[in-house]
Amino acid sequence: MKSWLCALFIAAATQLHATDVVKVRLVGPKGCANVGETIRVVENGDEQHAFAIARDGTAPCTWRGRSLEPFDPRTTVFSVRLQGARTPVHYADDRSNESIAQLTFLYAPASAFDVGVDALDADKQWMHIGYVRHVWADDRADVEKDEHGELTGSSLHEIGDVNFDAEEVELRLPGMRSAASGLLVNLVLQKTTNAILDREKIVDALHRQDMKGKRRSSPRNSLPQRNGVDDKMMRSSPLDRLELKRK
Amino acid sequence: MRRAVFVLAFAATSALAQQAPLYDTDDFVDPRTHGGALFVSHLVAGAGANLADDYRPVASNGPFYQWANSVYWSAYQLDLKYGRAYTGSSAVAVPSPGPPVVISPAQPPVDIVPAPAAGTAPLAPSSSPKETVQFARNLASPSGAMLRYRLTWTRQRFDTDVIQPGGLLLVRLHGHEQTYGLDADTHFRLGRRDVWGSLAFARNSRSGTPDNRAQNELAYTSRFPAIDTGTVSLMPRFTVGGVSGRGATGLNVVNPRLDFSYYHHGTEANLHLVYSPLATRSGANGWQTRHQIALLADRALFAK
Repeated sequence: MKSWLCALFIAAATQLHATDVVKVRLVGPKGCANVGETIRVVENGDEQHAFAIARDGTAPCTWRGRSLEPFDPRTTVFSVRLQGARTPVHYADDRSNESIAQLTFLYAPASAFDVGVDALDADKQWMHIGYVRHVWADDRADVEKDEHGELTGSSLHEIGDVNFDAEEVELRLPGMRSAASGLLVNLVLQKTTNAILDREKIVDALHRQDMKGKRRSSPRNSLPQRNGVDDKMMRSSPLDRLELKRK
Repeated sequence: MRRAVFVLAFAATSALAQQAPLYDTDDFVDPRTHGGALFVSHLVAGAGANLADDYRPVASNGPFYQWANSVYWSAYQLDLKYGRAYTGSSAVAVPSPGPPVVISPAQPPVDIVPAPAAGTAPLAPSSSPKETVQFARNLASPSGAMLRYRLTWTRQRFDTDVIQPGGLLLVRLHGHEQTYGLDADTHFRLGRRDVWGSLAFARNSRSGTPDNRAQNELAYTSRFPAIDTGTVSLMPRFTVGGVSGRGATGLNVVNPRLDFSYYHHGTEANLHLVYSPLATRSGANGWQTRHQIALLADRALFAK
């Protein structure tokens, strides 16, 4: 009885701080003329459930709308996709304001691009593939955050508004263990705009990540990791071919 | 204060990092990437010039091999390594009384050189097989970096013959050398940049020889990210440290290492060209540099 009352109290207290209104303001020397009438907002790193908000006619460079679910503005972080640019991850400007999450971002036009991802099995069928965007925090207002998404058979096989200067994008390959570091797209598309990787080249790319210390461990040239783990993982993975394109 | 602690760490521990041989594989498997147990048998073979063993010069140039067997399970790693560098015998003159000269005739030809004086770097033991056992535990840091903490025990047996001038064998001494070491990966972030390294402590001692010595080592190795140059990768490292027992306290080891490697898909082998100048300081001779260079191949024989 006591615990039930306690849970009810917590739920009620959370509801007291919940809102679903989001307002985004873009600032910067180049204005916001290139930005569309709607922009997409990612809440708490859940890119799969990003929601659109529309331009607010009452104020310049401002968009306003509602999220899919109520959220607590004290603890929720947001980032925005602007079709050609993305923002870092922020808390609301005033976290004590419980009726609206107002966010201000610096806008740098044409700083991002889309990355096309085609993951094919041996029968050339599209495969589901997950990804993680590790967004850096460069400013005091920024929050370092992992944003997650999935490219499914029914979705557009693109990761939108990628900015390699602001984030690292990892692909979660089929067969990969959940805690393992994924394939870093930044390194694969560092010197090319179009990469076609078979199983062997994927293992190569993972090994290069190892040697650069980009798999959350010290830089090492370890053949047991390469031939004993990564190669074995790719041999058992249904993934046969991966095509990455910087668009 | 911080500086004092740093100096104290070098001086008071009089301590501690076993320098892994130039051809040591330093294998690592991130436990997050595999399930169950993994066994890997691994062979390294090659040849080198001007090599050093635990910051001590070896007698001559020559080939080497190392056979490593590793078991990885959960967050643990157990290595059994067996290797040998055919780098000749270090002949040492008996300090007193006089005439007999100590050499190890098992590996002729032998160059007889005077015993290193006090305040200089000792010579490495004569060429003989070396056995190593390593046990490591991997732990993830709060930032998500997987760091390895590893204990190492190395043992090497070698014979030393005491020979009278004229070639008469007086006695054969059965000596051995042991090294106990601990090394720990380190990681911190400078802005967006990951700074990886390892801190190593070791104590090396030998007995059963006419020149019994012990040395303690402490070193920090900075592990830089590899640089890709097409098919060849360059892995740079930089080690600084202090080694006791050579008449120079504090920082007396500086050891960069450049490892050019090429992975050959047909043979599934890694080919390495390693250049590693080892600068050491002793009380008697000051700084001296030994230009280690080695060419080696590295291949996993079995992985299950």
